[in-house]
Amino acid sequence: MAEYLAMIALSPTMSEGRIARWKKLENESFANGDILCEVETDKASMDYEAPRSGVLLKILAQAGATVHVGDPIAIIGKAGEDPSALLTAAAEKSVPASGKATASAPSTAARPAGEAIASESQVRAAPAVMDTQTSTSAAGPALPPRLPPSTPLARTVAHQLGIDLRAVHGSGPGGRVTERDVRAYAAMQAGSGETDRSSSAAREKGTPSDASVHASVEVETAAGQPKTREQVTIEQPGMKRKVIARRLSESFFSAPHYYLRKRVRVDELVALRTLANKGREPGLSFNAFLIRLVAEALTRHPEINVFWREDGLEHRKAIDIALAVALPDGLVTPVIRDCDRKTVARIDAELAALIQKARDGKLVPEDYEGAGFTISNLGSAGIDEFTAIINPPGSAILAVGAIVKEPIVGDNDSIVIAQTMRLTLGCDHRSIDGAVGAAFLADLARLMEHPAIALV
Amino acid sequence: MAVMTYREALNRALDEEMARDPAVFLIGEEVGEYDGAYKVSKGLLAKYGPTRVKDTPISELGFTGLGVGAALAGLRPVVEWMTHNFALLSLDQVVNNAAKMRQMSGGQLSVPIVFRGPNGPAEYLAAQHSQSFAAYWAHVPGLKVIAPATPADAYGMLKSAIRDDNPVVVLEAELMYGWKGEVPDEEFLVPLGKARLAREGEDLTIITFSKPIQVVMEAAAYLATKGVEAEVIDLRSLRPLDEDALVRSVRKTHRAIVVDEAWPLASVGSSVAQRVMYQCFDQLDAPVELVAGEDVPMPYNHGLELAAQPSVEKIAAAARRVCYREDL
Repeated sequence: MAEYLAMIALSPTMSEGRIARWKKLENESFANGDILCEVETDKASMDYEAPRSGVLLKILAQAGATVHVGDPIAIIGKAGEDPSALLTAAAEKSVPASGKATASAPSTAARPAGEAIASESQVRAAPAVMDTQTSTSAAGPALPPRLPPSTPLARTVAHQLGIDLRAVHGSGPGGRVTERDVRAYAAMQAGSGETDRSSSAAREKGTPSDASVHASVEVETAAGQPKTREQVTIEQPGMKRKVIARRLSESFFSAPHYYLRKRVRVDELVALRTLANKGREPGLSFNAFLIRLVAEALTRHPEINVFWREDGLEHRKAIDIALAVALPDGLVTPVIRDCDRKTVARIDAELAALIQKARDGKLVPEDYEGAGFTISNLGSAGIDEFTAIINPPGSAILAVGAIVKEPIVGDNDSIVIAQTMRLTLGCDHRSIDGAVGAAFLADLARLMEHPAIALV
Repeated sequence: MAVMTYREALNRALDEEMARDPAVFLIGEEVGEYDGAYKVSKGLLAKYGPTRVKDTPISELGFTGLGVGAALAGLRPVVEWMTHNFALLSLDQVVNNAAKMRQMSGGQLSVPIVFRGPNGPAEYLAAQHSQSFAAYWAHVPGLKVIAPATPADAYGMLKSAIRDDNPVVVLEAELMYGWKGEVPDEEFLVPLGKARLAREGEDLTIITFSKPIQVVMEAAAYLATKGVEAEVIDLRSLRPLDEDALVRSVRKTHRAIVVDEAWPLASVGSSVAQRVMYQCFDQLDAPVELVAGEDVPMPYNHGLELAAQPSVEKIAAAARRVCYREDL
């Protein structure tokens, strides 16, 4: 019997996916496990495997279309079956028309079948996704609310492996998740670091290896050269890239940014780190020290640790600091919670765990949401100084450059060679005035120059 | 070790038990002069005489009741029903007397009796003579119900049944009487209530009893050619049911097919499927499948008759579903 083939959640956080390309043509037959199409999720490009054998009777969502999880992308069945009844039903439900991607868009009901099929141009014209659901904080879409059908053993194994069944593609009848699906998902997760990199390699060409989200959107568009001069290819951004684009555009165009710069001398901090890492393998990262000192500065300047919200200014009690981490397919900002109450070693360990989790594509929203302050460090990329875009809902971001040796004027007007770095604090003027930001940066600089102060 | 037929194995068991215990006697239609409708009692009249091998009129309720009374009085009757189809007439004696007396007398009475005969469809026998009544007996507390599927089990289990102090119903099958198998020469007993592991496998468990074991083994051999190793469990005993054997196997394979030639509703097969579902719920990777006889009176047309019974194709189709393998 002809039936709909629904978009499924191919990654833990996928709420919708974009059909990258169909690997089967209409009326082409396929076997169980054949790749029907490639789907770009918010995290990676994934193969959509046939849940059973059959014939692809009708493609409902063409390449380029963005489809919600659970909505039909095609009609499958046996050779010679007539999909028209389902086509009419699809038209009545108006799936998966591009307008549906925006929850605010009015329902485009009762369109003829042909028009219900999302065309590439419609999708391109469609507004950005997930506006209504994600509100202020979500950096990625949530899992679908309902569990897929699953076998008891699949549930048992998923529980043992700590896998959220909603993320797993069910290959059984009606999308039933079987034990095999769970194990395949677990294996895929284990190897997803590599998968992410390879699948998104093409998209990343021309993008600088960039630890900062904040500049990367603009840089990518500027640097994204077409491969051949004869043929201009326009690439649809992946889901994750779309989220980054939307959030940072929102931030950059709604928050009036201003920047404060300060050169700090870090000889003492470097010496302290060297001392602390003596006999420690691997050593504590510089970022961990940085986060700890920023936390210290934030406790002294709580007016920096605020959210600008529609309904007013939210003063944050917890000192939650995000660090921008570059991944091949875009940047993530894992958050260390309560940094004022943690040792450098603890921060370093948590940071390492979060970065590993990010590489594995396993970050969950509570890992990256709701930072009151963000640090972006391009020092390892050799950048001297740069400006960053504020990571909402926070109100400030610290851009950190490389540690360099340079001659400075020391005590008694002597010229000395010192280790220095440049800090650039980006602030939202709606919530932080210039003098307030300046006082914070000055104090932070003092703490970094003389980290012992943080102890007292 | 001798190779003998299922029929000969039953005969040997009867012979040995009658020789061993003078309280054992055989009663039924054509068991004496005719040597048994299916020749199970061949030679016994000549050997033990008419007091111990009793021919009866066509009167199932009567001679079954006679047997129950004899058992209450201290003998060990073996009642042969020409087929279980005819045993419907004797249901009242079995259900209300044989099965109840121990409990209703507070343990003062016991009914050490064996009811035996062929059960289930054979061939060309039409609707009234092609029925499996396993569930009718297995339903009743106070009875034991066994269904040996090999000559060795037929021998060892019938001997155990005769020695058991409870009423035991034995399900044989017309088509099984000619099945051959090895039976050890020395005397042995097969305990009641223990399943037999008929084939070891890792990929799925097929549970069956009685005659369908043959089609199940064929299906298992077919599945093996597709790389699926089925474990086959021959229940042998339907009451008591060896749930441990089922649980052990299904917890290993995570999928189960129950094959029962009786009608699907309220059958031994459906009951076994329920036990597996209950006992192994968290370990199941697919719903337990039941391959049953079709839910119709048996058609006389031979093509339809075969189509109404479990087959290799039907079992393979169920395996396809429980293994999520479309190539099976």
